[in-house]
Amino acid sequence: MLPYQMIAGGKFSLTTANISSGLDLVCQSQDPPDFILLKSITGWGEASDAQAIEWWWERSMAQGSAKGILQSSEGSTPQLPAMTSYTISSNGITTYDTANPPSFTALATTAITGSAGTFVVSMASTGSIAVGDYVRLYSTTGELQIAGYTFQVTAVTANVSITLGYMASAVSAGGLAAFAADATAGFVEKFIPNRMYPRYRYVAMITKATEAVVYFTEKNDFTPGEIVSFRVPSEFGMEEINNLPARVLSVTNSSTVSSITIDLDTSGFTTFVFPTSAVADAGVSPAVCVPSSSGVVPYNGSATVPQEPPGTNLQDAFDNRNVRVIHLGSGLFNVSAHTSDAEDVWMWQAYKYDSYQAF
Amino acid sequence: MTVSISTMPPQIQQRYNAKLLSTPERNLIHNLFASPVELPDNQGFIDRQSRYDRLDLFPVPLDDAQNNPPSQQLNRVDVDCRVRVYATYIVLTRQVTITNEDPVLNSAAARLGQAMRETQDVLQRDNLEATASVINSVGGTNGDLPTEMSISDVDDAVAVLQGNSAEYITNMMGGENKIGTAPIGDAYACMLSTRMIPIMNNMSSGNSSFTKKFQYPNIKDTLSSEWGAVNNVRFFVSELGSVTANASADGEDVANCFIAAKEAYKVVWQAGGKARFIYLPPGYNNDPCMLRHTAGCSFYQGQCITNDLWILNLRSTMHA
Repeated sequence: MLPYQMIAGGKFSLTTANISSGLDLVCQSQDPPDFILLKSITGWGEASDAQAIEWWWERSMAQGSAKGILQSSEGSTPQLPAMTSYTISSNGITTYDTANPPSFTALATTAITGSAGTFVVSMASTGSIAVGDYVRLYSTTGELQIAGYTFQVTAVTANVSITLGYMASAVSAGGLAAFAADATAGFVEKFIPNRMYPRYRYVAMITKATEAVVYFTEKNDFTPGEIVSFRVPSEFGMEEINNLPARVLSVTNSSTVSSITIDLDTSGFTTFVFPTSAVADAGVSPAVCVPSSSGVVPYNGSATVPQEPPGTNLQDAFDNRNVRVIHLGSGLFNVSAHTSDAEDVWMWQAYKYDSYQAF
Repeated sequence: MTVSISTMPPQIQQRYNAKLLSTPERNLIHNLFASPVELPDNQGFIDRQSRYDRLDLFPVPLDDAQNNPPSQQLNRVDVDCRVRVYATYIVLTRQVTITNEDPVLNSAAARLGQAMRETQDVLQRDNLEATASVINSVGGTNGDLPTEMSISDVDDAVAVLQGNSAEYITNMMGGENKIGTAPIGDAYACMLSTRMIPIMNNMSSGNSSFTKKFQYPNIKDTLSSEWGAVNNVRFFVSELGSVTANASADGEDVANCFIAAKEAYKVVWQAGGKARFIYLPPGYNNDPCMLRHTAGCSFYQGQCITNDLWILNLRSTMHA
């Protein structure tokens, strides 16, 4: 055996998004860590600010759980804040590799607001779903045109709803016609996607323009200069684009919009529209954008002029980007009355035992 | 005291049979139809291959003035593929190798080889899953989306590939005078999960039905992983076949069935990084008392589609 070793470590500064949704640390070792330790550098001994200051997870514990220390608010001198041991059973520390991710139990939904174009998914339990997570919808009553589709979550109201904001932006920004009716039931399943690169994406909308904008249901990993191609069945209207290649001019991956602008004039094409739920029920293939090939990088700041001399795009090379992840759930930073603050600095360490004996 | 077999000491009761039992080995199908490419050493880690696009046809004749027609632009398409390194190893104490009766290091080598080949296969599977164009089966009768695969779905996929000028991988297998056999057409190759076997066996439509491998007129040009064929697609199954859990409209598992044409995708190996078995005897790796052997394997591999129009992911559910 290798000697007991600290296989990875580092530090990170919390952001507001981290606090609400958690964060992923990449553990470069292929070995699954046996012991993970986090300590708050800035929070340790900080005056008058109740917060969690330490978390740990050990291989005998359930994935997603964590044990830690909460520090009470204390402003007197000398400063002697009370320390309290604490345990969380979910949304804590998880370790996995993205080629073999854990699965999650599907959660029920009672409504998906497709008719308003907002795609808010009502859920009595949102479980561990956080902003940025990937979810799949199925067994929907109505809105069968998106049943089986995958989406990325852009907002979560705990145990009330999640928002599929990238789909919503296809309506609000892209001009996609809202659906005729809402779904009134169904299931939402969180999943962690494989990171083989690049990946095809479900098309949410394609605008009619001299430089068309293509909207997706989740963040995309296409790059400027890359050549993509489209598979758009006739049920989606714009079948003229089916099998056509196009160069990516620019990429948008904001908190609510995932899109690419392409050098393809779709002005004269049929309007892109989702099939009705009834048409989907009869059987239809999804509209997808697939990676096709590498292209010349556009000139910096220009959507149309190629870089001179031509720049080779190496970012779009087909690649295996799977990694071993230590996921720190939002539960670590949102303990009631002990919430962490943005810009808090934490250190982390991951260890591998030389010998592990469990009795 | 009566001596019976129950009073014999355990060492006498037991005999160690030196013939080892078989270890289950999965079918390796996903690299079968990949174009192999070797990346020479010292020339980077991203392999770029290119093709030139077709030119436009020019059916209009020149007029009597005999003016030159406009020129066409020759367009080249590049496909980049990054090669990565993969490795694993096992550690055996010398105590094991000198006390165990069977040659455990030999078994270790065999299992490492199996793990390596299956990893190579899974990498290609995951690549196809990420990049192949998606078509849902819609010709089945289970009411789900996708439905279970039907012959009409297979024919639709063949029509798409033919429409994209994709070449078949295997040639026609002509009929022979053998009872219960049927000729096999020129065919694309479909790589799919063993869970699809009942669906394939039940496929029929009009005069067409699924031809199992044992119904081929001649099986000399088949592989052990081949299950059968229908019209212009031959099917190859593996326990490692791609399945996406709960991905249908009804929440059922969906099989990703990759139908490939010739030169649709490739696998890239580094010239100096081909599959290696690496044995280190006791004394290496901080082992001053020479207590541990290590046996490892490594390989370099990249994988990518080379023409997105020539490979399809025909999705199918697997329930009735």
